[in-house]
Amino acid sequence: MVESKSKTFTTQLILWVALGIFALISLIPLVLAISITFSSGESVMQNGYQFIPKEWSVEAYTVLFKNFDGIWRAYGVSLFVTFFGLVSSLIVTVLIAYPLSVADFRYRGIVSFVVFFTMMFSGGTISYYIFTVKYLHLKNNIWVLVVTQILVPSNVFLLRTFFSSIPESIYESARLDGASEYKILFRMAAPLNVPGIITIGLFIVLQYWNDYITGMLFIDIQELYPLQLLLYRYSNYIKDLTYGTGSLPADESLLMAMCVIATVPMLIVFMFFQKYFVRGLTSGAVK
Amino acid sequence: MAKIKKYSRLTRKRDNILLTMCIPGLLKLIVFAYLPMIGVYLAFVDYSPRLNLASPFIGLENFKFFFKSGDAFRIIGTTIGTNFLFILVGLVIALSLAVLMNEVRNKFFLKFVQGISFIPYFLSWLVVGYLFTAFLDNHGIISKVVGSATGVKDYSFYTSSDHWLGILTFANMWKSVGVTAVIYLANIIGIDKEFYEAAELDGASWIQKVFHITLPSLIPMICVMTLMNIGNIVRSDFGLFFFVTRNSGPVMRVYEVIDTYVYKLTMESTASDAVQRAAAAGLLQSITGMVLVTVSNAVVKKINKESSLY
Repeated sequence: MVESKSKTFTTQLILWVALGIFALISLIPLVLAISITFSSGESVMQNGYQFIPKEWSVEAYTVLFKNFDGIWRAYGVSLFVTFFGLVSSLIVTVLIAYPLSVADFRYRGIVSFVVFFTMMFSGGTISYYIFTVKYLHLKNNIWVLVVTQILVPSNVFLLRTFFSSIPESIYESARLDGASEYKILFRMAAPLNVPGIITIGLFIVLQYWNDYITGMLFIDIQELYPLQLLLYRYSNYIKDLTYGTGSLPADESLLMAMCVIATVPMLIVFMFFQKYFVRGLTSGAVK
Repeated sequence: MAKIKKYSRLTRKRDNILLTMCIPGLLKLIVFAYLPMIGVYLAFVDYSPRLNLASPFIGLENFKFFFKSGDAFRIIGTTIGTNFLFILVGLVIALSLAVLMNEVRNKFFLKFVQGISFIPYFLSWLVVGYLFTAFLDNHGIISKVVGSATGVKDYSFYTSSDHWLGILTFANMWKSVGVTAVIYLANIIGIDKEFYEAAELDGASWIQKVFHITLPSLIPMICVMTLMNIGNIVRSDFGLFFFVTRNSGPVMRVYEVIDTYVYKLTMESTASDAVQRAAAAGLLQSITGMVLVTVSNAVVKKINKESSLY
């Protein structure tokens, strides 16, 4: 008995070490980035990047915080896009996912197919680009960042799974009482599926905040840069930023500070909604 | 009889209302997915910006050119090859992690490890690309070690294509393996505990239980996940190949994939035939992708009807 107990202890110890190393690897690049943001420029130039800076400096952050027109404007654009993206995308996704969960909805098959087909086949980047720019005239329009991402097929199917998990019979009695479908959706189906909707909301926020490709394709004036695009074009931007400021933090510390600032909101969102995130990931796989 | 008639009229009314709910979503798909599909025609024309879709039709010339230039085989080969490697390595690592996580008794520790392993998933590829430069560029932590071992001053990984298969695989795993592991773990937890209890009575070791109970029970799920990934084998993660490589020339000469190739033709190329070449490459990718998804889905359906996409 004692032997088996110590064996269990050894096994658990090995497990803790193995998974601890895994967690460490997951975290290390971010830790390094954060410590680079606190290194002075000369220290990076002389000693390379270090986990513990030789010379501490908060210059990277002071330069960023002083510069309202650049990074904070991009922050504003990203917040704007994420907020309106979340609201509109959530409404559109809920509206289409609910009918697809009604078992005997006559157009269920065809609508599902129309949504699903876009996951399989696309007209390609070039025609999407030409169509959006030449025919819809959405180049350098902030709403292009919102509308092009408004419906993600996988979110529709995930939310449909959540809706389907509630027995139809609950809605059936409301139908017999003459409740309209909109009333059933907003008074019953949606409130009963709040966890599912939060999960989808989390995916939507993540997707809007981290969307770089739409900006790279359709935005080329700096006033409309979202954060990710500003990061992409950082080298031009940092030249503006540090022009004539005398002593400079290294480009690298500024860049890493921008990365940290761009990432922190998502980490906060994740911390608060971790439970829903895991549920969303696993509900597609476990039936 | 009258009752049935009334009911079906009600159902039709209900269905029409339900259909109105789909309109905003369908509208978005029509505008941003279906209408641009008309543009696949650009793959068959000698494009001029002035004429657009009215540009002269040249049949399959663009595809011929794409294949003759030698670009095609290299890029398609890299796309499929790297994806294949990612699927294989991802499966092994995610499964191993899930099996290990399943053995942890302390649930608090497990939650802690999982929480941290999700963090990379919440970073954009752009940020990941920059974070990795702190290891790989000429001031980088790993470059310093490699540089001093090989005697190269200011060694940087971005100046040659050496080691990049490993770096790209690592980056891809680093970003998503924690998330995949949790999906497998959820399935392991779902395995009937009686199998394990019976095995324990027979004196089975931990390793035996993993190979004779856990893994066999997961086979349908492993098949489904792998087939879905194979369906997407012609599509690469643009962000991984564009930002982690920092789009540096020497690396991209070897690790160009269809998605980065098409993006560069769309946004960065000044060649007069860039549009039609991008259209041809994109169409080729879309069609192979569609065939692969359809086939793999049909196979998934055979294995497990519930898990198929449609």
